[in-house]
Amino acid sequence: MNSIREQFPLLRTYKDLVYLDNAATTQKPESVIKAVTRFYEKQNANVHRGAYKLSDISSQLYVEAHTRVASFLNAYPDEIIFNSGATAGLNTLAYGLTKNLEKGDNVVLTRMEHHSNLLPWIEMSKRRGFEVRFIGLNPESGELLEEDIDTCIDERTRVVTFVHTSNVLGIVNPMHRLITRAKAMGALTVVDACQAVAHQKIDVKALDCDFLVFSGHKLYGPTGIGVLYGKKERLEKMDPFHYGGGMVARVSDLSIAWKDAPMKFEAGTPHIAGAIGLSAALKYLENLGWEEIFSHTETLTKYATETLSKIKDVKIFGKNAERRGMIAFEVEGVHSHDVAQIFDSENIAVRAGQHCATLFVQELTDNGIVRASMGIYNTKKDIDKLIVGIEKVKKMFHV
Amino acid sequence: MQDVDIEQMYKEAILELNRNPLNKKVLPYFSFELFSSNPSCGDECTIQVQLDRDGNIGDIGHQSKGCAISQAAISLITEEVKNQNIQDVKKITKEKMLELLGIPITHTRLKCALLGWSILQKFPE
Repeated sequence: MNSIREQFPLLRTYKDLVYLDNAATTQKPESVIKAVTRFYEKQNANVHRGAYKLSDISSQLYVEAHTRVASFLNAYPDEIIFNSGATAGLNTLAYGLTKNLEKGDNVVLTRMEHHSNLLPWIEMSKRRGFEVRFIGLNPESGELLEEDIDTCIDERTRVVTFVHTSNVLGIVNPMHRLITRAKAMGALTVVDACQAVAHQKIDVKALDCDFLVFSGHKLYGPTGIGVLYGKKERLEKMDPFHYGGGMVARVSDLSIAWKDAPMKFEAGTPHIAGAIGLSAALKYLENLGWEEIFSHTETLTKYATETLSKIKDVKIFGKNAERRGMIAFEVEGVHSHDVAQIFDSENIAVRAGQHCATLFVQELTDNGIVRASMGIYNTKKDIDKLIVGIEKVKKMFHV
Repeated sequence: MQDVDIEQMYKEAILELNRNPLNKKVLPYFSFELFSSNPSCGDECTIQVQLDRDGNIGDIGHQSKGCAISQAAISLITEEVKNQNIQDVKKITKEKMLELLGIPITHTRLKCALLGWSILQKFPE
């Protein structure tokens, strides 16, 4: 996959850049940028509203984008809702799924959640009185505590919401185990697939989750576009979170009837260009081949773990757990921001700090975590460059 | 993309303050105590101030964790304000804080450099 870098205009511009912050956002291939530009130059009109030719073209492209995402997830097009990103999706779900919850009910999260899958549920629990429970973590391995799965999820659990692949350590959670337990207790399941989708094809039917969210910009699509998948029968029963144009089937002074999903959940003019860009990103990834992408990530993750393991004074978090797409570490005695700053002087872009997962990171270290996350354009050479950066940190900080 | 002079940013004086921060201690008695943090980095800082009879800062202590830049900046600002009254402390500008630090600071590191200073700006007069 060596020539892939050439397909990314930003990486062509900055030839020396070692971009290892893909878990935060990925760079965009030329085909995505072109699709968005083409839309604004030649296809732009609002969707589902005009009788003229341009509106017909943009509406068709927008519908096609739903279809392409549906095929990526093995879902039906009317189970795919476009929104601004995973945060919007999780807020919609936290609002819609807890409407009838009361004191005595509970929603189960994990200690691994990104703030976007934590704060909406906490806020709703304050308003509606249900309990929020956390599946804990093994502080050594970073993995979920298996025994907590059974004790936290009980007959009063209404929703179980969890991350597929951790944005901090890259740990892959036991999806089947979580979903099976939730279903046995009659709870709905929500999967945060933000990190997972960059590395693998997702099959919602095989997972058998009720809902799943992700953001387009983490799989080489534009920012500001995200996806909320919901099983058709679940979406039918859920109330929308946003209200506005395009979602109404019939309206009178006193009553409103919503259109069916996805329109019910896509009030207002959607991010049409974003949806088309995301569709182009999925097409690009399909052409590369999901198996190829998956094995590329696996190879790099394994290589990074082996390579960094050999360096003294470097601690890898979640080293022995099943991890995907990233390596999280600290240089002992040095704060992660100082590490990232010195990396930057070597043109290495990584993320440092708490990673919007304060609860999780604070359990692991006081220094914050340095995260190097891989994408399809990264190579073993990029990982080798990390070593150069680490040696420079050690030299400067006299470690 | 502009490169920051990394050797200047992490010059020996900064690293020394990171290894051996000034005024990093718990005051047994204090007049005020305030806490602040940079949630995305996890930097945290509590500053305690003991005012003397004249209303000047007689002693100051901080308990903080964070990157080298934040540790050095907190050391320098807590040292700077000793014997000053709170009104004068509040007149210390952002620019003056950065001048005290005396290193190139990028936009993303401003919050590290200003954490301790921002706490002192919030002390009651």
